[in-house]
Amino acid sequence: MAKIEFDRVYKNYGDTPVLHDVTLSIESGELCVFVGPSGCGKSTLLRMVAGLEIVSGGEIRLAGRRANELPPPERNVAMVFQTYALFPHMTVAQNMGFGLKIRGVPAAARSAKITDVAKTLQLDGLLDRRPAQLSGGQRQRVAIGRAMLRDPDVYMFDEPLSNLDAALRIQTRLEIARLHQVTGRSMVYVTHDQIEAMTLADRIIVLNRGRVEQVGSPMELYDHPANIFVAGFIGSPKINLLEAAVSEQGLAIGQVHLAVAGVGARPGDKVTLGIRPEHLAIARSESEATFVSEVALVERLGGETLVYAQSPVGGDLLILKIQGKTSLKPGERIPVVIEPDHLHFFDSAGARLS
Amino acid sequence: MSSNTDARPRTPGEWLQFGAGSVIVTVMCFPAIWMVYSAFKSNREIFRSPFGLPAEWRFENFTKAWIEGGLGALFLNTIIVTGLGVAMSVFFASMAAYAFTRLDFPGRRALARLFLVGLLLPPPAVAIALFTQLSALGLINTLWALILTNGAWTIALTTYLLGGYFRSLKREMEEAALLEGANRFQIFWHVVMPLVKPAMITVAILNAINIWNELLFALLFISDDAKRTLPAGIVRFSGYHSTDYSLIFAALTITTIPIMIFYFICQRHVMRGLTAAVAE
Repeated sequence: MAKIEFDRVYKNYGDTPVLHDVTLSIESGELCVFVGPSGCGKSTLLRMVAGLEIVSGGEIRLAGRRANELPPPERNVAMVFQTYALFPHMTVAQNMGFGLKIRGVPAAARSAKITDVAKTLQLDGLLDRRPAQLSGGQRQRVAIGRAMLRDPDVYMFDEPLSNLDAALRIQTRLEIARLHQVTGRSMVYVTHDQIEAMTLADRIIVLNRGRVEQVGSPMELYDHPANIFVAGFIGSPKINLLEAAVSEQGLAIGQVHLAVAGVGARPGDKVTLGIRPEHLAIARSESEATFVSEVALVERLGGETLVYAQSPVGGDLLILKIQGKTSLKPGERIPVVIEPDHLHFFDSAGARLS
Repeated sequence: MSSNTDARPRTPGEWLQFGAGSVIVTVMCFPAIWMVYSAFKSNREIFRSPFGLPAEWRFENFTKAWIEGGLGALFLNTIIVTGLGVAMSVFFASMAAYAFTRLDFPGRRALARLFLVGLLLPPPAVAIALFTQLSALGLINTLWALILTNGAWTIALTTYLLGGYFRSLKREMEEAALLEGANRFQIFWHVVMPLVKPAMITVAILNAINIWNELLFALLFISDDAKRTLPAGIVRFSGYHSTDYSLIFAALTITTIPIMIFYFICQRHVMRGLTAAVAE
C-alpha cells in the first residue's frame, strides 16, 4: 500500500499548460476518483503517477519517496487501460502472466498464480483463448487479472468502463469495488462519468481545465459543491442553475420572489441559485407554490419520474425529480415549490457563497 | 452487396475503365509473356518472327541454358545473397524504425530524415565509393559484398515502411508491458514484433524481389563466374560477337519463375500488409 502525494505538480506539452499547481494527497488504501470533462488533465495526472508522462514541475511522491525520475516498473503500480491494452497475439493466460514471465517467475509458479486469479475473476475456462475471442467484459477482466498478478502497491484505472455496455459497466464497477475491498490497496480511478465517481469513490477529485476544482467525499461534493462547475458536474440529473438577484426579502428569480435567508451576498448582487432536481417539488395547490410552470417533457424511469418544466427566467428547462409515477403531460401547468433548506448560492465568479 | 453490383449493367464509363486497365495490364505483362514463349524458339526464329508463337516448342533450350549457364550455382549464390540480405535488412530496419517512432533521443528527427536520403540515391551514384570501401575491406569478389550492400541498400525503404506500421500501433500495449516490468528490448521483442509480423513479411517479400533481381552491384563487385548471382550470370550468354537469345530467354524464364511463384504465393500477405498501414 502506498500514499500518493502531489506537491505543486505542473504539466506542459511544449508551451501548452495541461495541469496547473496540483497539490493533493491520496491516502494509503483509499479509492480516489479523478473526475472531469474530456481534456481536463485527469488521465495525464494518472499517467504521471505511473511514470508514463514526465512531470514538468513539482513533485510526485509514492510512499513518501520522490517518484518523478523513477522508471515505471520500479513504481510498483498496475494500470487498467480503457482499451484494455491486451496483447492480441497472446492467450488470456499469457496476457495475465506476462509480467510474471518478464520477472523470471518459473512456469509452474506462474501457472498456479494465473489459475488462482482466473478463478477469482471467473476466467478459468478462457485461459487458452485470445483477446479477439472474448467479449468486452471478459477482456476487461483479463486486464484486471493482469493487474492483480502484478500485486501492485497502487491500482490505476483509466476510464476502464468506457468501452462496455450499460449492464457490463455496472457489473464491472461492482467487481472493481470488490477488488478494492479484498486487496485494500490504494486505487486511483479516472472517469468522466460522475455516476461511476459517486458510486466507487472514497474521495473524488474534480478537475477542470487542468486545475483541481474540489476534493471531497461524494456526499461532500454533492451537498456542498465549491463552485458552479462542481455543482453542475456532480449529480444526475444535473442541478438546476438559475440567475437571480439578491433582494431585501430574499431572492428575485425573474418575476418570482423567494423568501430565503443566508444567501451570503448584499441586496442588489447578482447570484446563481442552484437547486438539485429532488429539491423541487409539485405543490398541492398554486397557493402553496413558489411559481407556476408549464411541463415541457416527462421522462418515466419506473421508480421515479423526471419532469422538465419551463424556468421562471427562461433558458434551460428546469428538472424536477419526483418519486413514483405521474400522469403529467407536456403542456400542463404545474405549481412548483422550491425547498429553501437545500439551496446553493454562487457569486458572479461561480464560487460558492456562505 | 457484391451480387447487387454484379447485377447492375455496366456504364460506358466503367467499360472505358476496364478497357484502359486491360491495355495497361497487357503492356505490362507482354514482355514477360514474350520472354517465356521466346524461350522455346531457336535463335534464328526469334529474329525471323520476333512476336510470333514458336513453330516448334524447344524444351531442350531450358536444359541447355541450365547446363551451359551453370544456373544451379547461380541459384545457390542468389538464394544466399537474397536470404542473408533480406534478413539483415529486416532485422536492422525494424529496430531502426522502432527507435525512430518510439524512442526519444537527441537528433532523432535529423537522423530519421538522413535515413530517407537512402531512398533518393540512385545506385550508380555510390557504386564507385562502395567499390573502394569493399576493396579496402577485402570483400570484393565475395558474396558478402553483395549481401552487405543489398542489405544496407534496402534498409532505408524498409525502415520507412515499417515506421508507418509502428506508428499505427496503439501505445497502450507497450505502456502496459512497460508497467509490467519489461525493458525496451523485451517490449520490442515480445509485444511489438509479433504485432508487425504482417508488415515484416511484406517488406521481406519486396526486398527479396529487389535483391534477387539486382544487377549493377552484382556486375561491379563480382568478377569470379562461380560467385555470380542469376542476373549477372545470365549476362554471360551475351557474347562479344554473337548472342544466343533463345538461351538468354530460357535462362531468364528459369530465373524469373521462382521469384514470381514466390510473389504469387505471398501476395496475399503483401496486399494485407500494405492495406493495413493505409487503413490505420
